[in-house]
Amino acid sequence: MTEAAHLPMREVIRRAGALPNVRPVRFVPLLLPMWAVEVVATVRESHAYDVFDRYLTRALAEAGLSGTAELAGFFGVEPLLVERTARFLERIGHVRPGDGGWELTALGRRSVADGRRYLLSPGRRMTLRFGGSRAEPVPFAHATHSVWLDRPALTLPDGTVFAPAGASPELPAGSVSGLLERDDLADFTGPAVPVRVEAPRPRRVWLPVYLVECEDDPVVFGWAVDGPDPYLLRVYLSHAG
Amino acid sequence: MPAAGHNYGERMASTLVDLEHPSNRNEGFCAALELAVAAARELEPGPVPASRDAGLDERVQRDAILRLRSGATANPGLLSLLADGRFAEHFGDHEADDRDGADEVSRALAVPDLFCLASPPGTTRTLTVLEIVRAAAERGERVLIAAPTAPGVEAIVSRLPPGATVIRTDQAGSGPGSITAAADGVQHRVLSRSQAAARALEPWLGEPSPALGWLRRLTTALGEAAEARERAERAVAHRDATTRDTRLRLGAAARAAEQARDEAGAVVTGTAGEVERLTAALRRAEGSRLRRWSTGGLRRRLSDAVRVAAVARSAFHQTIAAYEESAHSLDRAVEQDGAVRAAADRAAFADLAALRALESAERSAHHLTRLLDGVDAAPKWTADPAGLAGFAEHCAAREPVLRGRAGLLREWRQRAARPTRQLHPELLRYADVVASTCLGAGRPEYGELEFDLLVLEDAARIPVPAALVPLVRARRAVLVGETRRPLLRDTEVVRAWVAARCPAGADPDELAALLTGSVFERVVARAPERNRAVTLW
Repeated sequence: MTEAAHLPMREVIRRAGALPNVRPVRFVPLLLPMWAVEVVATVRESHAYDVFDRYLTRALAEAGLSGTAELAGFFGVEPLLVERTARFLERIGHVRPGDGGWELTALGRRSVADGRRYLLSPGRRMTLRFGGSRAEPVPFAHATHSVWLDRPALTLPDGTVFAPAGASPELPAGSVSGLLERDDLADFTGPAVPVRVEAPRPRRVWLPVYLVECEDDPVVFGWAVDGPDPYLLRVYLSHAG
Repeated sequence: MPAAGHNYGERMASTLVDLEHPSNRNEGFCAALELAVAAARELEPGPVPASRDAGLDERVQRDAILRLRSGATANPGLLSLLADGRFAEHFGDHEADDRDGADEVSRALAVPDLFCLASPPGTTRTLTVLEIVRAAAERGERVLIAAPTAPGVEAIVSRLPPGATVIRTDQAGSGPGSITAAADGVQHRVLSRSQAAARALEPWLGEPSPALGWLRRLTTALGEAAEARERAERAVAHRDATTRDTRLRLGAAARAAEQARDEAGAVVTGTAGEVERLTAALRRAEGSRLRRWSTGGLRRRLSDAVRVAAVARSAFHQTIAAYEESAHSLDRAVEQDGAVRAAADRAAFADLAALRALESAERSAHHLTRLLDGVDAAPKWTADPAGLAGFAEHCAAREPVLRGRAGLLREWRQRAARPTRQLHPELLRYADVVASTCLGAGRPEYGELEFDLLVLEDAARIPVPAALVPLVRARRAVLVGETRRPLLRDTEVVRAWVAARCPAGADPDELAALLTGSVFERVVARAPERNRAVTLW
């Protein structure tokens, strides 16, 4: 017996029965084949700016100021305060010494544009998850709130047996790099956004779901969403072809 | 008793471990520190006065021990130093440091990790500590001054020379030296110092800003001036063409007089040439015996030729006078011709309009120059189309920057004008000197603060766990205290507690030492010669 990793069948039957315009015909416990890629990543974490570091960065970005003395004069503070703030920003990779003053790095420009103080943290172990059929990244909510199985076997305490929904093709080589290039990357990785990854190690995992065949279109129940899960339905349909 | 201590003790009791191995020794020391924190709670009243929040005090000590254990200390060798007395190699000028003349201040600032200054309380010690703090701050280092109690901190801070930014974290409210007072001071300074710049930048604010308005006027005036100049040039060309046509139309008599003058001039030239030729022939005949007979005829012919030439010159002068009179009449006629006068008036008006357009551009440029004064470098410009166009181009390039600068300064001043606690973390992070009690330095809001130098005053009264709170935040430290002070706690009481409560596997001697001895005694006894100094009264 495997530990309880999903809703019992009767609960799914109850929920499906409560849905308007849904007439279930058959409940099929399935294990959708998916991919998990373990990586060691340099992640970009988002923090709130303090006061002066924010204004100093903005002065570099928007006001055409760069020298310590002119920045101090502009803000009406001691040059040492500017110097120490700039050194702090240099330590976290937001500014670097430039031509007679300070200039923003790419990370600093990105931070000031987004109004968030980004920090790069190397060596973070994380798991990136992809669909088994089309190798599309799994949304962060599903990645974190789902139960992922290392083996294609699951039997619930109520005796419900989940069967693998077939095999999946190999994970395409560019899946991870393609994910990192997406503008909506944070939707799949959460607040700690990977900017570089090393040593990706893909492995097959399985996601238990209930396929509810209906008189009309089927619906799929997972763990991450209370009701029918449109994302899981898309994954199932792409897998079923 | 902390869970970690129990676990550690149980693990040690059931496993064969080389207790003298450095890593195990360090782990044992950390476990003893945690036990000492827990024991101190039961053994109080101890040397550190009870604070308002004893639970917080205990937590900050545990956090410091956690940082020590995990290596998250500003001085990476702190654990080895405290556990084993292993000081960092000193790669400085040993001879200079060791020579008799080297003072304690230089030596204290030269060591890479920790320096012990053994000195009895008094003026000498205070002056030495002040000099260490002053010298470190002057080098641009951030200094944390810590003492077991607030009066101890006050004794040092109150005598610091003015100049350095000093913040006392234990000073409640907005009293002198408090973080609130420091923030207020910064905010007031910001508002007063940036007032002139804000006023100067004010014209660059708004959509559109007055400065942008003047820039647009300048650009528009330059465009109008260019168009007016083109119109003026066309009017001049038209005037010249009209004059030429009119002169052609009215100039028949003048042209005839001119022709007569030219013909008369040709006759003059011909008769003069004949006179010259006959004169030369006469001279040759008079000089030759063979031709002397012909001189009479030549003289007659020369006389006739001279007479004819005189008549021709007279006629020529008359034609010149006639021509000049005719030309003068033509000029007057052309000048008074209606078409010519109209064309000339148009050209004059067009030129005036071009000049006025340029003057308008010049006025706008003067306004912009005044708006740039004290705000940005204003280039020299000349009041001609090229000079004004170059100035307008410069202003157009700088306008977005100055608009951004004006907006940013306005936001900054608005932020500085309202009370805020958001400045506090940065003021602490960037202050020259921060002063605090030992345990106050570990408050959660100061969690990320690190310092170049810690000056731990009265360290002979501070137990190791409490001293750890500021120590883990400093890359270097100077411990100041006196030797041969009474133990922090009664030895018998501590021994009894250790005998009754020390868990299996823990080192009872280490625990007793931590409960009775100060951080100063622990370190000074193990410090190499160059890491310690003694001053007298």
